[in-house]
Amino acid sequence: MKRPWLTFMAQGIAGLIVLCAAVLKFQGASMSVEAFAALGMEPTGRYIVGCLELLAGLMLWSPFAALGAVLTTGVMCGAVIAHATRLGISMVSDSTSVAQTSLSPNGLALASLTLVLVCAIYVAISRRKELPFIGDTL
Amino acid sequence: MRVPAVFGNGRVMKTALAIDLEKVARAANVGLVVLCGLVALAGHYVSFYFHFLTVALIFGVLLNFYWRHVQKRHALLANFGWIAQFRYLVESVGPELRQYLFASDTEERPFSRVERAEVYRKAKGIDASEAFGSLRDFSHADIKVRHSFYPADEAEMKPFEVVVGASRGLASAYTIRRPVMISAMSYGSLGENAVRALARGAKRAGIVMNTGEGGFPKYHLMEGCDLIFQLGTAKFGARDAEGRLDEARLADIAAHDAVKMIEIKLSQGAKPGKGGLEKITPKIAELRTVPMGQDVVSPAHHLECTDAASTVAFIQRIQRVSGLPTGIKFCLGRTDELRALLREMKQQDVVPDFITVDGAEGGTGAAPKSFMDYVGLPLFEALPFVDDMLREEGLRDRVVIFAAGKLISPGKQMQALSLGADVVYTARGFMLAIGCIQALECNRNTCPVGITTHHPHLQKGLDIEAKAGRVVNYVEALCRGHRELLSATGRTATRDLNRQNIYLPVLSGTAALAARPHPEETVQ
Ligand SMILES: Cc1cc2nc3c(=O)[nH]c(=O)nc-3n(C[C@H](O)[C@H](O)[C@H](O)COP(=O)(O)O)c2cc1C
Repeated sequence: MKRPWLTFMAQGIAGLIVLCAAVLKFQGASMSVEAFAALGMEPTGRYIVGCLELLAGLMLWSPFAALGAVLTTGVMCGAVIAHATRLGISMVSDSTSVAQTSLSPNGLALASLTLVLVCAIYVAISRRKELPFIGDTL
Repeated sequence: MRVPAVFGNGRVMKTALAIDLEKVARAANVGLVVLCGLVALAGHYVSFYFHFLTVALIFGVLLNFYWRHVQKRHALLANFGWIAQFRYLVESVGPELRQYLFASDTEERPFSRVERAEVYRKAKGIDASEAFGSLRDFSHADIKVRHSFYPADEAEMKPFEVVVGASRGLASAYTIRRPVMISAMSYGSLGENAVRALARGAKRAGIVMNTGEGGFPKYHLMEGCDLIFQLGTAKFGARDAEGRLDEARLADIAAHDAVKMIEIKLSQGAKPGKGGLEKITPKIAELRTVPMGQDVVSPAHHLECTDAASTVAFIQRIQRVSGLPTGIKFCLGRTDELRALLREMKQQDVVPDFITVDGAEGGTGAAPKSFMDYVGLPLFEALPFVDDMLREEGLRDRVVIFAAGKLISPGKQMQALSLGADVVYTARGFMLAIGCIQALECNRNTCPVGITTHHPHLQKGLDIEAKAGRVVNYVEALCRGHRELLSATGRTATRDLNRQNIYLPVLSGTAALAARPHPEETVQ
């Protein structure tokens, strides 16, 4: 690990956002429900992804951060696929129920997604040696 | 039909079951990508749930790409891709599989399951008999105890008694009353629970325990057993800043009631001619009188001892400072050097009160592999040599011989006693007695049964009181075995044993060659 403080910071940020996302999913926030409905995974998929996020977030704040980072990256890749194929990548919400002030909820989701993805990939790369089984080969 | 060509002339022999690994690997690598694509399509057209798999497979594809085209350290992964991981996987669980499933009862090393089971049974107080026949191989190369037509009666047996330091007329001369002692294992290589369990057991069984070179014997003293304090090459516990002897500190240690003898370690069987580096924690550093944070490497020899004369002078110094019976421990290497050392002792009229002969098969907390495997003489080669040489130099009645080296059962101990030892030592026998499962992790601080570790949560499993009981059982069973075997030899006292009581195999060609005096091996 070259810059430990940077890694710890990335773990902190990614963990926080992912945990918030998990809580929103469990609460059934309208935005999550809509998204998972669009994917045809409501509600089972929402709970599965929520559980994965909860696990990933906690691991990012634990000695298993390397694994947590890989898991986070995985979940975020899923989200990227979802946006790319079903949900669209517009930064502007097409839902009329939300006032279009600055950033739409969808745009906010995309922004945080990007941030988490960057942080998680950074953590996974800088801690790759700690991964079980394959760590030695990386 | 033509026979397929053999190895060596460019063609490969084909057999019905041969698997072309390269083809399999290629299929596996392409398959991974294809599967990833298929799953992605399924995720798009069938159900989004398939994308869980898509993500996992994308990771797999990326990782596989890295292994095959980027990294350079692992040839197998570079050539074959992800299926090569199976080899690493299987290899990593190999030792466990072999130990649990495939190793036969007599083939494990250093101690086979049969040998370990004997100690476990003794320690647990179930001294069961065996049925049908021995599991050992019988060959002319096996050493055996010779029994007599006329076994001795239990009633005639004399109690075991060896006095150390008597020939110097020491007031502190010590009488050893049981034939087995706990050999040196430092606090450091052992955790405190293990030390205390052994010490408590030693106290109850009435045997002597060697402290090892771990410094001030704080945990040993808590239990009040009789101790041999070991002065290692780094002189932990009695060193000055440069690693030379600090006389005041040694005198302090020797002044403790429980400390009965001093053993100067010149070398040990597992790493003769080599020092070492061990685990270090603040607690260990304190007892070793070494500043924490500073790695102290045990040197290969005592700084004071560079030749025969200085070694003998050092022995005398320790005898004077401690006022206790003092001996030396070594693993035999060159016999000409031993001869010179003994002659120097006669010259200066300084004789160690005991000599501990450690076999090259001895154990350790940590040592380089080549030293463990290839340096030093095995116990049964060295022991008769030392015994003979002491007799030839007329010193045998002034020196007691202790012996160590896989002497974990009464049978082997009896053989050592017949080959010249007066008392036997074992280290690993007692480790097994307190629950060692031979995980071979003593150097990693991860001992699963809490013996050679300093992690509190691993030591928790080692209950001092329960394991002290195991030590007592083990000692009692060993001594019972000794009496039975002694009776079978027709002797009534252990000290009457000699080479008539043992069958030694005929020397092999190389051993016979080595036994011939070497032209240069003449000492003036
Ligand atoms: C864990 C461990 C630690 C040891 N520490 C020492 C030591 O500090 N000093 C020493 O002279 N020998 C040390 N030894 C060697 C033993 O005292 C003994 O000479 C050797 O293991 C042979 O006896 P055994 O085959 O009965 O174990 C150690 C052995 C073991 C297994």
